[in-house]
Amino acid sequence: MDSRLIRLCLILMVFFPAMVVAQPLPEEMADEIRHSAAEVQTLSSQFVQEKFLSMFAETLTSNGRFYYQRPDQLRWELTEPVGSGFVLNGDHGERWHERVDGSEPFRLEDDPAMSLIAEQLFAWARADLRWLQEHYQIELIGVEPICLRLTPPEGQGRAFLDHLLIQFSDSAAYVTEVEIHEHDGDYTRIRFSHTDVNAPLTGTLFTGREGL
Amino acid sequence: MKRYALIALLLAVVLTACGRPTLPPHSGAVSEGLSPLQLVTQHWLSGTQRYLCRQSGVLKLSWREIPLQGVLRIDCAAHEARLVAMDSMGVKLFDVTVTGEDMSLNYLLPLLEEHPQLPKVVAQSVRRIFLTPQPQAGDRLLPRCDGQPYRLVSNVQSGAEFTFGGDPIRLQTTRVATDDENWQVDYFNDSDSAMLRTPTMIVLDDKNYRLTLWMEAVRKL
Repeated sequence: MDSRLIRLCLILMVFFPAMVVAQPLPEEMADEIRHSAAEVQTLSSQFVQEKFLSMFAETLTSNGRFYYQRPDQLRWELTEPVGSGFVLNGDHGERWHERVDGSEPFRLEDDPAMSLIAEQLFAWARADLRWLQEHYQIELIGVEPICLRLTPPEGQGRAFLDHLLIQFSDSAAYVTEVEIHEHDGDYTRIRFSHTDVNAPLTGTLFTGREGL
Repeated sequence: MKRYALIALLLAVVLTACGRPTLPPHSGAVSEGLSPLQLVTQHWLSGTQRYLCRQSGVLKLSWREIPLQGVLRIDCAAHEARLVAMDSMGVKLFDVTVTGEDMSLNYLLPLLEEHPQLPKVVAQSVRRIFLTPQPQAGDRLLPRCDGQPYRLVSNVQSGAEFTFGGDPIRLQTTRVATDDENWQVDYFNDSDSAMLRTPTMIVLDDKNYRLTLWMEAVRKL
């Protein structure tokens, strides 16, 4: 290693002590995430979704809110600039869009797209490391807070997904930020805020469009 | 991801004709005594400007409505548009460059590769709405009475006619009716976007579908 590289490493260690060289997720850290996440029964959160389009050098910002109740109820809703969303309740749900009247029911077994999205969202909401380890190569890239880089194996989601970055809360109980990176430099960043853990949620949240 | 395949399939099949529901009325007031050149030069797409538009939209088929969103860059000088279409989760579906005569596909979600009809249909809609036909100063102005909208008949494209109305004057309708094509685009302004004179809502009616676009944000580049 030449002296310039050593100096750079020292500078990084001084100013970014929480950063680590990418390495496999240590088992004790995985246990910490599993243990903390197991305590979570409900989550409610606001989020900001930023889509960066490299071709236009443009960031599209949307705002929304998110609710989760263990084991399999979820509401994902964009509120600005255009409202849209869906609820998942077990093996079925419904989706809606501000520009379209009513809502469209679906069953996960009949809708592979929603099934795929549901798998991902539930895995993040539950911090389900077992599922994530089955579907991605996981590397630890930050420790305070824990930040993981998830790379899909060749031939699966790799076709349109380069990698994911997932950052956990300080308690490691839930996810605070997700970045979805595509091969061409475009990415989507979802930052969760005002997260309430284990606050009581009304059941109507997960029944449909009007449940909020 | 089969949902995307379904979208493409829906677009690919021959659809029963959609009726033409009533659209909101265009603005009634009209400035008097304008020439075709004056009409055309006030049209927001007539210059050499470049725009970046954020849009949301709904594609209405005879039995289903499909929401879409996208970012569109329009280069008026080059008569070219580039569209990145996404679903509401921000997943990029496709990226197309459209000119008056052609389209090139820059990106297609791999799961959509078996159904290239989707970007083709959307590219055709982008061409009709933003690129061609466009009103020209040499178009023929039809006789009109005071207070009536202005109607220009294209000297470039057979069967194309443009209607201008409102105050300030704006392109309100493009209509093409030939043996091969029969479609209409209505441009609406529900707010005073006088700085750019851009429409806020656009409706393309084809015999097989209706595409409604809302211009969420427009800026000059």
